[in-house]
Amino acid sequence: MRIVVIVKEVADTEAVISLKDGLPDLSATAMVNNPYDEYAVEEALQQADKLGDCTVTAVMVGREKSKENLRKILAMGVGEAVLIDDEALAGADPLQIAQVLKAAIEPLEPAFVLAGRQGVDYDWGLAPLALAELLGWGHVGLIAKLEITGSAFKAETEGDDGLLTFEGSLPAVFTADKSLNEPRYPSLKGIMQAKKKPLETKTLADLGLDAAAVGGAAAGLKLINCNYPPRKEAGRVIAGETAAEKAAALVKALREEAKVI
Amino acid sequence: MAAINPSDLYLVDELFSEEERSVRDAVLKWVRARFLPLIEEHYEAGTFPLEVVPELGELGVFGATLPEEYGCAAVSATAYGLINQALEYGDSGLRSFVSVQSGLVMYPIFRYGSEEQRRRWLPLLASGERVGCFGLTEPNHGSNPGGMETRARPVDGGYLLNGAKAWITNGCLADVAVVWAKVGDGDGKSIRGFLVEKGMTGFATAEYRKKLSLRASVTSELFFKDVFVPTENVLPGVEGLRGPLSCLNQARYGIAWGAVGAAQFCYEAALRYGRERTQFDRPIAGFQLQQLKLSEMATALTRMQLIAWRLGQLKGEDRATPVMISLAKRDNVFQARRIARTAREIHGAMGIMLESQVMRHANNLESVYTYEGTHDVHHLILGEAITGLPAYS
Ligand SMILES: Cc1cc2nc3c(=O)[nH]c(=O)nc-3n(C[C@H](O)[C@H](O)[C@H](O)COP(=O)(O)OP(=O)(O)OC[C@H]3O[C@@H](n4cnc5c(N)ncnc54)[C@H](O)[C@@H]3O)c2cc1C
Repeated sequence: MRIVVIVKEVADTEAVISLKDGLPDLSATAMVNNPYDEYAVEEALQQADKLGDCTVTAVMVGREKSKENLRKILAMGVGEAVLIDDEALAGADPLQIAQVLKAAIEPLEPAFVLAGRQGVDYDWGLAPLALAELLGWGHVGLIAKLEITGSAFKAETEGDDGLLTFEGSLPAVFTADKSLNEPRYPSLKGIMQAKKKPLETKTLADLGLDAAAVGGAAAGLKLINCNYPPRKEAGRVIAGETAAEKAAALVKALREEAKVI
Repeated sequence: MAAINPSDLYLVDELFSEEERSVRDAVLKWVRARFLPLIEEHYEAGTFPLEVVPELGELGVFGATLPEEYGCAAVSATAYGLINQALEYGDSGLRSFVSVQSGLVMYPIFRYGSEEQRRRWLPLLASGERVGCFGLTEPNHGSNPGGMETRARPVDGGYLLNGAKAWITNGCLADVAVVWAKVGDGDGKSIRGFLVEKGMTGFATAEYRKKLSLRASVTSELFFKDVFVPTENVLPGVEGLRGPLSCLNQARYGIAWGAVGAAQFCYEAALRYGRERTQFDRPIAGFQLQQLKLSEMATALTRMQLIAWRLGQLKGEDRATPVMISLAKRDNVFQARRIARTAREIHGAMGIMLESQVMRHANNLESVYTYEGTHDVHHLILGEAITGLPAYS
């Protein structure tokens, strides 16, 4: 039995991102594994422990230097990894990424797929949903609990009004919310062992995909410009002798300057 | 202008292997997520957060360079350095805890211990199930440990230990103390290492309270009154001051790296604060005086990183001499202490608050400046090495 977990890299959440021509310049920014994906990895490892005789495979779309972060996933205890590295994928949109993931994951015949609920870079959270759709599998997003029994699953999510419970059959795709578990830290021993674990690199051609269709050049969704959020102006204290005077000045400012009433 | 990483101006990161970076990142991540949220409370209370010890064991930071057969991770010297750097990014007390356990307790047991002593202690110390301490300094002998007064008198089946040790990190917490004492009426050449266990009759400890530095680290006095130490608890592999000094070399090596972490934390905090804090309608980091300070900090940090990196390489090749390690310990700590103080200045009034963290580091570095050979004594070591004229002894 196999569980596939999808991971990707994002800019270090502690880093200050600089912009170049209106787009993020990550050339000197440290990259980390998307924090939400670590919940997915943890869940995959815990489920594999429970199910027994189960391989966990991590799949990442990235570049050659992403191997370093992918091996950190192996250091957490994942058994093997696949890196999909192709120049043409620069700027690919979530739907294209989902097509690439489908081509890589389908032949692995996983019992189910886990991913983080969203990347903390753009917060889109689209690729796993699109993947489930392309595979024709069920999908439960933002899970807080997962139980696998044979080929059936029961998943809980935290809705605004309480817990929602979903039941369905495998294979399926789940995305992990923070409440799902507490991701482990890769141990130093795990790091030392990770270099001995299989890490396979594949190009679009290896997956039988056409770069002209799934490459960034053909993306349907393109990021065209980013701005820093505007600086917050300092607040203003309304002056006046009495409370009534201050209230009058406030109302005047709200109507004439802010034009909100 | 190309984007730069202000904390790695010379791309030192590239000089490490992938594995070394991964080790550092794993520890740094743990420090940020698990340790930093605890430190303020413990620093104020003057306690060490003992709850993190099993987690440190699981991470594998204790005795990380030692072989796997004793439950250790067998990482490179440079990776061990980076572990210290990541820990001291959190707090010098945290790094001290790990330095003592690794460099001053596990190292001598591994290097000078019998196979039986290794098997008994190393796996438990590696997992954090047992804590160790290192007793060299005495109330009357700090910079001059060769003058120690603690004595071990040979008796049937072992030794009777008498004396006291001062300023011992983890003393009250320790299950095992590596205690250095002169044997019989011998001089410095007779010094041996004794594994004194918690609960042995005549062995007592007392904690120093009211420290103004390294508050999140337990420092204690150890007292020995006719403590019977069986022969199997004596480290068979070494005699003379060489034993404890070789351990200090391990720990000093870690400190040279740890200082980089404390300095990096303070520099990053000052940079962040300088950009956020506005006075006279602009960020204070935009003023030339503050830029001078930040630029000096960045330059010193870069130098510290390069010294640590080169020392790591030499240690990996078994070519790092005590003089090289001494130089790096002294100067990296000196620079870190300056950076921490400057970071405090840049924070203005906020800088005196515990929550801004920089004065905690600055205060800690006063201890680091003093222990493992004071700054002055390290100048004497280098002074002797380059002139051939010993200023002491
Ligand atoms: C927080 C903390 C934790 C510690 N943990 C441990 C531990 O775990 N185990 C352990 O064994 N020890 C430990 N120590 C002790 C530490 O190593 C000693 O404090 C250190 O060696 C200095 O000794 P001293 O304090 O007696 O100072 P002294 O040796 O009395 O020095 C006082 C001053 O005189 C200067 N001086 C001394 N000799 C000379 C000289 N020849 N020439 C010029 N100047 C000189 C020193 O530089 C210093 O400024 C710890 C200390 C601290 C503060």
